[in-house]
Amino acid sequence: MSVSLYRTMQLIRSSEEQLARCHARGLVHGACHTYVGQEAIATGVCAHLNGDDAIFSTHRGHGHALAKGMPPGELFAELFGRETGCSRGRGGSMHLFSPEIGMMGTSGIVGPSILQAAGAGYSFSLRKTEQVAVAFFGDGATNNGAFHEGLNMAAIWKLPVLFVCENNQFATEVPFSDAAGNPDVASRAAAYGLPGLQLDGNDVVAISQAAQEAVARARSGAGPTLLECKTYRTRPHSEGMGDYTYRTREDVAAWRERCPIKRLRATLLAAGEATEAELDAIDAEIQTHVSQVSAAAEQAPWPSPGAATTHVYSPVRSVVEPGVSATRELSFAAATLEALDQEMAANPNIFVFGEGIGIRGGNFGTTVGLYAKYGAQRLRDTPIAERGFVGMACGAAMTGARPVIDFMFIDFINDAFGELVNQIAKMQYMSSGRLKMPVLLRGCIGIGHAAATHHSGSYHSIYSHIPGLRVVIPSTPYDAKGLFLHALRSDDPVLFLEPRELMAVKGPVPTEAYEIEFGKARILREGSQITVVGIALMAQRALAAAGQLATEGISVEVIDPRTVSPLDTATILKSVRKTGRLLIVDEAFAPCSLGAEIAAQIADQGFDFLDAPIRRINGAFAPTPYSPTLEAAVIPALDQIVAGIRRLAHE
Amino acid sequence: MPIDITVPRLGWSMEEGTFAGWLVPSGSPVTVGQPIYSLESDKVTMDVEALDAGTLHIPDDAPVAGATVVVGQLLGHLLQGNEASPRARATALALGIDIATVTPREGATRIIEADVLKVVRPAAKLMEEAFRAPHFYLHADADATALASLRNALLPLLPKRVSYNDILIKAVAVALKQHPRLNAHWVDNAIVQRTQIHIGLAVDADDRLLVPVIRNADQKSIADIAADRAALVERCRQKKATREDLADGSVTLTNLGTFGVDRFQAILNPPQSAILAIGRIAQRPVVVDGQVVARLTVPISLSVDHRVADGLAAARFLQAIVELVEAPLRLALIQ
Ligand SMILES: Cc1ncc(C[n+]2csc(CCOP(=O)(O)OP(=O)(O)O)c2C)c(N)n1
Ligand SMILES: [Mg+2]
Repeated sequence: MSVSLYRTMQLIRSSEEQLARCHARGLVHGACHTYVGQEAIATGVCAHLNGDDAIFSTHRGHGHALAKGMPPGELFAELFGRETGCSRGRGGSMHLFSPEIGMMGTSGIVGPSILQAAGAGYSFSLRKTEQVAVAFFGDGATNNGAFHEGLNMAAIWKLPVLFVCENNQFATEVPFSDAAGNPDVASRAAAYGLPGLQLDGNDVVAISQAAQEAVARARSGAGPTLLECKTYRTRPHSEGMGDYTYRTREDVAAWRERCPIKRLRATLLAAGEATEAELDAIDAEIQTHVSQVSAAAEQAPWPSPGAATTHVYSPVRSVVEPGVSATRELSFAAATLEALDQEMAANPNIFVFGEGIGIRGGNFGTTVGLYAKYGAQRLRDTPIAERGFVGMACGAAMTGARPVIDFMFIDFINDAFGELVNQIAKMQYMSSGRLKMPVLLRGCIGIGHAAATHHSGSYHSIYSHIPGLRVVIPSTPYDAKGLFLHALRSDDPVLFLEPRELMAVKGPVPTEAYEIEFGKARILREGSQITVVGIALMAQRALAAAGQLATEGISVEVIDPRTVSPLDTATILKSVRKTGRLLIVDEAFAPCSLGAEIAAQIADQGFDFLDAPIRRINGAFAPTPYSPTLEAAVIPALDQIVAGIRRLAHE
Repeated sequence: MPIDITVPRLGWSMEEGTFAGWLVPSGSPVTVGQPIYSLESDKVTMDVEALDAGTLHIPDDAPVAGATVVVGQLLGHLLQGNEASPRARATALALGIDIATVTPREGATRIIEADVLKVVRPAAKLMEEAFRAPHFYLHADADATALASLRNALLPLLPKRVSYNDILIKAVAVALKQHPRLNAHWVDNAIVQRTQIHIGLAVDADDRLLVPVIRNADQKSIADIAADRAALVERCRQKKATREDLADGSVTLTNLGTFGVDRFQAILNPPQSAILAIGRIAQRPVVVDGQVVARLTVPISLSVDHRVADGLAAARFLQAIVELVEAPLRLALIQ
């Protein structure tokens, strides 16, 4: 047992020293954060993990990957940017993915590993798999909100997680003592109600023992543990960086003497578990192996440039939508509730996170009645920790669950921007499609009800800018149910945005479970003289405007894109080819918006169809004010849309 | 982009003045230096000259005569010839129209597709209209012996190569002058009598059918007609035809004889009420004094809108054409 710990630590050390040489030779194209000095931690913890247990790591993740069983050749090839790398050359040092062996990924952003491990723990406990999740993170991450939110939620729900803090006493060049009000990390566990242990991070035996207990505790359902491992990295933060502006040569030399490998070697010899010759033979064997895989990785093929944009999304699944022939009427909110209920009954991996979505049934009745049917674990009321539970949803989706996040008001999603944009949106791509990301994020949008500026935003333009996300905005109950169900069955992350002013509006909805594919616009009304594209509430307002203008003899075609990403420009283009005129109405801000995107695409592909400039009507470029008179002044009104259409039709 | 016409400062101290009225109406072409409106300051009244050329556009909300205006205030625009929508340009190109000759509809600042289509309505629309017109057809074969000799005689004499069509255009124009009933259009459910005689000729320009018009053909010599016709056909093929080139024909002549077609009936070219279809000029058996002999003949068929002319009027018109074709020397003499 202990000899195998020695072997793993030596493999990490040899690999890191070889990578440092390769970096100096220019074979590593980007950053190279080595793990030299900290080998005992990954080794001691991973010694107690099964193949299907999941680890989540950081920018300093080579050691975690090797300890979890990644063949060193895949690590070298990845840092050399080759096709055979663990991330197929997409990641480099900071983005190592090998989900097949439970190496769920390293993140170049400090913090998310904590949340993703907590989310994986949620997934394991929901699905009762007895797997364990481990978050590795540095001392720097303990001052980040992810630490607070992740540990808290893992503690409340007793998730099977190990939080392993590798306190190497610096975050880049900032000493932890200067950055922490309470530099005793282990003691912080008390604030969240979980056990916290401080360990000598250079003593692999101590770490291994503590990890063994923590893993057993997690598997038994008793909950998470925080392990603070005090250690020191004896190479620079990143290869090629200067090292002695913030610490002294003497300090580094002293810590080199406390090398964890030397220490285990002495222990093994003293205990008679191995002889010098045996350990020398292991060292030589590993050295040869590392030299060989390094040389082989140098010869490995480069990824083909044609593959640079694959796996941004899961493959599209085509569906046939039934059409609006139903006679039964439901409200927009009730239509999505029906879809959620039908799919939760069919798929036990779906769970909902939100504030007041349990017994209460959601601020807008989005989950009414479901708590009684599916219980607390699948309808989970959360602390007010949007970043935290979005980060957890990422980890849960990486490990087989299908989280639905109910924000009430979508404004709150901005607190989770990083988790959404840097983690959730990129995960399928970075893992070359080996991880799926079925996360549904829902919330209401739009100005009205004097909700004022923090409960009225429309952020679809911002999120449509991000590759990897789907952005859906229905404007009728029929569309809402079909698109919601499609989102629940999609392997992509979907932002499902619900126009608040339309949530109570009723319309015909088929009773059976049906799907509407993303990227298919709906022509709400046919016309010949001018095309009006309206989204959310503005789709319905444009429809009303078209009705008014018909009496004046102006024939308006109204299109609701229904999804902003992907955007169905083909339908819009076809319409403009017929009418020669295009107006886009959106209550969201104009700069860099959906309207700007449609205008650019149509100008590009349909310039010769245009008889007049493309025009836009947008909400005012200002936060939403409260007073009804002010509120009305910032959102496109019906008569403003009527006048805009009329003017453009005659232009 | 249209060029703005704004109130100038007449002298150092002027801040405002009185607009005294336009000197040219909206929609007229304006040249550089042409006085276009009058302006009064406290010292002088001045006719202000255009600084740029263009088509004057006076917006609905422009100041009226007597209004006080301030220096820099917008009075109107000079539309530039190229102020057309991308769609209008694309359509004009496809139809072979020079966009510079299309004018925007009243009150508008930009040429759109509809303005181009007013010049040449698309074939499909035209055909629908044509089929709504109650047609009838008359046929006659004219002896073309004299026609051929006349052409052969003119060929060495004239600078432009004379075609049979040039002589036939002249024949139709003269016959139309004699039978003005056929020089009428059916517009908005009424007969609109025309006074001038413009003959359209169907031309194949790069697989597009265009009908350029020889204006006042009754008053032109065969030589002039030949020169006009050659220039028009060239412009059509170069996609440089102007609105003027294509607009306002009285009747149309279409000749498929050179493509080996013996005889055919043509569809009307609305709002025109008559079209002549000319077949192949060839030796055909005819009966002369009880004997079958070979004669050079030209088959002519006439399609007529019954709302405009009845069978008898049409027959007289066709008879006049046949007579002129069979004794064409008169055509060479009439100027
Ligand atoms: C959110 C975020 N902020 C800043 C950085 C830049 N950065 C990269 S590594 C690092 C220090 C991290 O320190 P620590 O968590 O202690 O890990 P260590 O490098 O010591 O292993 C910083 C600030 C980052 N990657 N992510
Ligand atoms: Mg650190």
